[in-house]
Amino acid sequence: MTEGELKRLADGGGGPELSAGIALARDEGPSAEQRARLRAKLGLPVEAPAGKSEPSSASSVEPPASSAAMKSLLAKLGVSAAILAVAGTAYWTWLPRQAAPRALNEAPRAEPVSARPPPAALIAPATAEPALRAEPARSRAMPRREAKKPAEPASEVAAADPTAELTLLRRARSHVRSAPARALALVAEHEQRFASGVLAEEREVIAIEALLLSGERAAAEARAAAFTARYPQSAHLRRVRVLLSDPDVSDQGSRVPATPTR
Amino acid sequence: MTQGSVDFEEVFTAHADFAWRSLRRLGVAERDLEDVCQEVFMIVLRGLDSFEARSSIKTWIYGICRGVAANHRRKGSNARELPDQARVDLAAAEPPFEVRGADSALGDRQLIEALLGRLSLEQREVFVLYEIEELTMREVSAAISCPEDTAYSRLKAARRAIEAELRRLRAQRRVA
Repeated sequence: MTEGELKRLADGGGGPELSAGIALARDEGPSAEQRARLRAKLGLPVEAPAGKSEPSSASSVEPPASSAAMKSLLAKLGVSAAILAVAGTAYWTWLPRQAAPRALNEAPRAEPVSARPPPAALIAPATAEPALRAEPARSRAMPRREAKKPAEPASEVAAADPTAELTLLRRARSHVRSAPARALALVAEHEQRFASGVLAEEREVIAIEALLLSGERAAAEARAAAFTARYPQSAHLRRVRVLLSDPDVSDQGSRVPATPTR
Repeated sequence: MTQGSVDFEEVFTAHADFAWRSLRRLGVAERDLEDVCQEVFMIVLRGLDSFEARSSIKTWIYGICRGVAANHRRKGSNARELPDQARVDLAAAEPPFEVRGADSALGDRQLIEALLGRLSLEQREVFVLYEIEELTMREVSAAISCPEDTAYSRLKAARRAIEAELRRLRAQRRVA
């Protein structure tokens, strides 16, 4: 039944008016202004204007690092913060990588992404209280970090910049297997710049994995113990446990680094 | 932002339009598209490192769009059955049957949106991904997490519905 693709209507099967409509529908997207604003909000560099400039959009484009804009970001996300937590958790925690996207693909089908508890195998009990929610995370992270490091000029600016935070941790994540030392350096940078960041838990998981892959098992265990004590409800606890008991992670080199997709 | 194995900016550049129109067809109101699209790409950004080309990045992004759109719909006040464009009165879509002049492009587009609006969300999804976005049936089934056979029958049902609607409109024009 599914062998061989069907001829598409746009290839003439649906009559000229339908083909034309389909072709037009294929070209839709945000306007140039909307696109520029989206890029700015996502921390992407401003695109070179193609031909004409857009003075009208200039005022509405917020600079990526505008902390006011970013501060409102997580609040504005509302429910989606929960999706981020659930989806993100699946990504960060699930060891066999192929399992993570399934979690994402399935989440939409069960519409209440945040209401329905995700499969127990994927995510630990903590999902009732999403890991990524601006206020709780901040209040959890603040007391200790700020007491320890009172003067951190960088963190003042970047504290409420989740995009930059994500980018930094994404970089760290991408180095874990290929260059754990580099990942640890980035983790340290995150610790310093985002003392009260909302992704502290994710950072710790990266750190633990990077330490294990660097052969620093004792340090990894100490960090894991601190993590467990500090985030007893964390959705990442399972991941941490798996990491510590996974011979592949301790025995570096036996695991093939993530293959680039492009 | 080039440290990851897949570059976020490239992904955004290549798929922002796709995500945008997908969200719109998934029922996100025009006024909310920008925010919702931002949410989608925040999730993409966060998951990109873990993404591997099991299927296509497009189907992965579509899965995220579905989840975010579904949540958006659940927020109550945003609940709506159909995209704005789909609310276009079918009467407004009639001109292309007769007038194929300067403004026929607008008419064609209204027509397709109006026809899409007649489909159930399930059928519309498959129809849009296959006919408009030109995914393969395998990708379609991955994107909406359903067996290929199911996607195939939804497509057939969608086509039947659309063809019937077209026939009806053509007949109407002849009578009028």
